[in-house]
Amino acid sequence: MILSANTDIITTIITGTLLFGLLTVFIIYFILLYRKSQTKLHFERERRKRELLQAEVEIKEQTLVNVSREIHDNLGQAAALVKINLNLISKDIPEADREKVTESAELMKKLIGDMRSLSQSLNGDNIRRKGFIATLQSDVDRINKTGYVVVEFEHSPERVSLEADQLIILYRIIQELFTNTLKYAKASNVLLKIIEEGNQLKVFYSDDGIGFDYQTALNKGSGLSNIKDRCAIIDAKLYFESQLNNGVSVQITLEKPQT
Amino acid sequence: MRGLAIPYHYVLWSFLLILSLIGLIKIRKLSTVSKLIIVYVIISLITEYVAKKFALYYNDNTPVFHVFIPIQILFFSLLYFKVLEIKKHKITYWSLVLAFITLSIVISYNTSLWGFFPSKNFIILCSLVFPLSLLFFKKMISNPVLTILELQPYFWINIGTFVFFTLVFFILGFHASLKLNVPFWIYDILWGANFLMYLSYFIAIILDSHSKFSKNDPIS
Repeated sequence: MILSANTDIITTIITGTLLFGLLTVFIIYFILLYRKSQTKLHFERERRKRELLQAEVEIKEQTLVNVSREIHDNLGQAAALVKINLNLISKDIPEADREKVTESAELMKKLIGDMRSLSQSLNGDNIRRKGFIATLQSDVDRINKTGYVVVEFEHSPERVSLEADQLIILYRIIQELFTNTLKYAKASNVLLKIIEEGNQLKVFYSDDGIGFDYQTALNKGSGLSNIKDRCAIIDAKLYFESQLNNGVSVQITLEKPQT
Repeated sequence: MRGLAIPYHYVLWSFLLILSLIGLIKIRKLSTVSKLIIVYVIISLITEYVAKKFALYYNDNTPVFHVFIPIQILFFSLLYFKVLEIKKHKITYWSLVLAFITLSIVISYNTSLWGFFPSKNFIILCSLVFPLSLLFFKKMISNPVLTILELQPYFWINIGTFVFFTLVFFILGFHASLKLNVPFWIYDILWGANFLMYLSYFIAIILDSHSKFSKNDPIS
């Protein structure tokens, strides 16, 4: 009787230990499996988000190309025609009125020039044709001509070896930075520096404007979030530093493709 | 639990009472599943109390559990119907549940309600809850959410239910069928597991009442 009771206790302890062991193993296995599926989901979401952003950027880029063509082909042509007409009219009118018409023709010439530069800056294809640095140089020259700010552009590579799509997005990021400076910063000086360090391309951008609070600006407008999203698309690391009345400093780092 | 200075049932009653009160206070913030848990906790509290009174007055509390088990079958079926989001096989599911309830009632009817602990009925209950909790684990893996696992209310509900009913199934089923002389401390483990189940429900309700953790809908 005692022997039977002891056997029962031993059986109970063995089965109990086995049961607890199995339960523990099952729970640990479940947790590991769940974490694995969470990681998979996380990567899947990131991929989808990137694809969505990519599509959004492509649509925007296409719209800009269309607007650029429209400016160049239609508005540019019409403006050129008006300029020719003004020049023709100026020959047939009295001397007293000629000055006004010539002035209008000059203004029209300036307008055509501005439209051409705007069309070029909107069209991402220019980067493919002219090159990244040259396109940026045109933009810098155009901004400097306005006289609102003085942009200093330094670059060590003459040719940036990145994928064309990456360059277009990087170009749009720099354009957005210029726009922000011109619209909000009240800056006098801007420094744009592009350098290559080993396998990395680094873009430094700074202005001496009024600065901003990063989080507030991120929540407020789409400019900063656009920059952030575009950086995510091209796998660029973005570093922002800004304080009120202390300007802004931006650093964008990109890994160059292995050659 | 005989080693405790305070009797186990007082600890359990107090805990169930606190859990019910917290649940009732936070009821508006809770999801349907957590509301069901609160209802279950209240029913459990009443059952435990009535069982104790039966034990005191009639020296036997088994009839209470004969009544409680069909309610438990119904409750857990409803709970898993909600969390598993069963849509396709509703009729099959509820027919199965009805069969389990009927079986449990028939067993109780065929044996004396008095002096006979409904071990078989518990095994019937476990054989329903055990696969349902496994199915929910499977669903969690195939439809994960990005919230940390330990912050998901449904995880706690399922883990508590799963551990408790696995132990009940093995202790009552395995030992009863082998007619082994089970040492009495094994039932202490069962009470402990029961307490842990309510503790996991408590964690689930607290987590569910915080809106940021309550979104458990998988986004595929």
